[in-house]
Amino acid sequence: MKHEKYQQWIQLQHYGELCEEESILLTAHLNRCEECRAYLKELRKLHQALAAEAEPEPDEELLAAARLELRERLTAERGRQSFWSRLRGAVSGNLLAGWQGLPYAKGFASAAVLIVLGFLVGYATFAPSVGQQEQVDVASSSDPWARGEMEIANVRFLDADASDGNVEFYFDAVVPMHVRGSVNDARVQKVLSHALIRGQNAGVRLRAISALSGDHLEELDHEVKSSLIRAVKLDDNDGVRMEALTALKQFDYDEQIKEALLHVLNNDPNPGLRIAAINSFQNEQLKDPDVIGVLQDKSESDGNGYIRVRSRAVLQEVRQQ
Amino acid sequence: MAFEQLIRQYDKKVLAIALSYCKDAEAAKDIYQEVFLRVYKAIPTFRFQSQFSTWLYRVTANVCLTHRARRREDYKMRSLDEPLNQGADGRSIGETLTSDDRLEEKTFQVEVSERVRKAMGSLSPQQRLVFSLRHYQGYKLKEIASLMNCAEGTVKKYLFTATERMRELMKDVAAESEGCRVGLGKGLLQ
Repeated sequence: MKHEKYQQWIQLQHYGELCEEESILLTAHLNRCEECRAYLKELRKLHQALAAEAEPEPDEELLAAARLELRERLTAERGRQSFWSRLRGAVSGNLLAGWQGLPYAKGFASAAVLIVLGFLVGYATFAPSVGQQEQVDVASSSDPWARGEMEIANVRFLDADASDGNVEFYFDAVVPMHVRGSVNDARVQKVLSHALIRGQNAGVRLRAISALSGDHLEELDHEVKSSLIRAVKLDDNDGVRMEALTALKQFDYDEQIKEALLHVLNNDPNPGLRIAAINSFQNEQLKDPDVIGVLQDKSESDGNGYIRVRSRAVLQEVRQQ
Repeated sequence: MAFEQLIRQYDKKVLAIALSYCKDAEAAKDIYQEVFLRVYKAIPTFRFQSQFSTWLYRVTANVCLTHRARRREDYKMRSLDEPLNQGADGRSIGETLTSDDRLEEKTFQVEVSERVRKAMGSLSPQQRLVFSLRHYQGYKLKEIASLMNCAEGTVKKYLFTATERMRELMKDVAAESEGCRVGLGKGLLQ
């Protein structure tokens, strides 16, 4: 408990939130307490690491995009409020003329408006869309890169006021694509590389890696290697990282792959992956001073006993050669 | 238009708070929209008994705490001709890695940012907000207590817990950071 108090003071001192009296007491304590000095050192390391982080301040592009979206939403909000006010006014003013002196007149007016709105929403939702009858049958198309019907998304208004006859807006045109083609096609590989980084779930990312692995592949785009390295380092899912590590074996060993393997060995939280990284190095590659340095470190300090033993065994084999 | 002119003085700060809280540009924009829509709807009843900025940032803190990140997939249209893994300068990360003298520092910076994002994601909303307001935005603990409408002691407790958790989760990165600095220092001396 005593150390906890001083360790909290250490945190406050870093932010300049400690009063003078507490600072003096803390300094005196640190002169006597090795544990708290070690804690201070760790906290400094943490803040140094955080200082290495990319600047989280919003750039001008992000701010401009946020302002644009806000302007559209405010325009829509003003329009919505204006419509509702006019509608309520029309119902209560015109339809219930002569009834306004009666109790519950406003309630009846609101109910009438709701019924009308209900009909309008139901019609908009369930009425058949003209476009549906003209939809392309993607699956039966002979084009291997068949396009589906364009879908409109994310409409953003710059000017929704049509009183001058014009409106101005952005929108995203999303075209679903159905592809059946060779995995040796560069375009297919590009899409699969995208999926293995940004796939919606781990299953999609695993299937992308599986499609990019195997003897049927003649040549792999260099972007595939970059994407696999990125997945090895950063994917949240252990299985995806493992499959990406295995898939990297298709590529000739080079500095990038060495760096990726060492990254896994140093940082991956899953011991299975760290073991797989050790096993990925071939004999000659193990003689690299960088690799030896990391293995020595792992043989002494890895949290997993098997990895410490395995690292020592590998170093022993290298020395004997 | 008058409302938009008013918020221009403060909106960058709101977006900065949101971004340091959630570490995600899309989520930060969501929070930004929500804050200013709430303010827009409530401003007719704002009594100006406190400063507008104080009220605005209090709303921002509340929206951060209650924000549920929508699982927006990174579903961006890409041209098949556009190279993947492209950096901000248009070069592919592969090219950047092979030609940039500060390769090690840039790669490490990206990795640290990702680790910080994950570590902050493991904090509770209150811990995350206190940590981001203190560490990234430089608010004093007393100011944070005012924004969050709670006692200063409570804010301290959130900060201590958050810092301990970050320290645990970033231990290996912190060690690597020291190694990286030493390595870069040696490189400069050569």
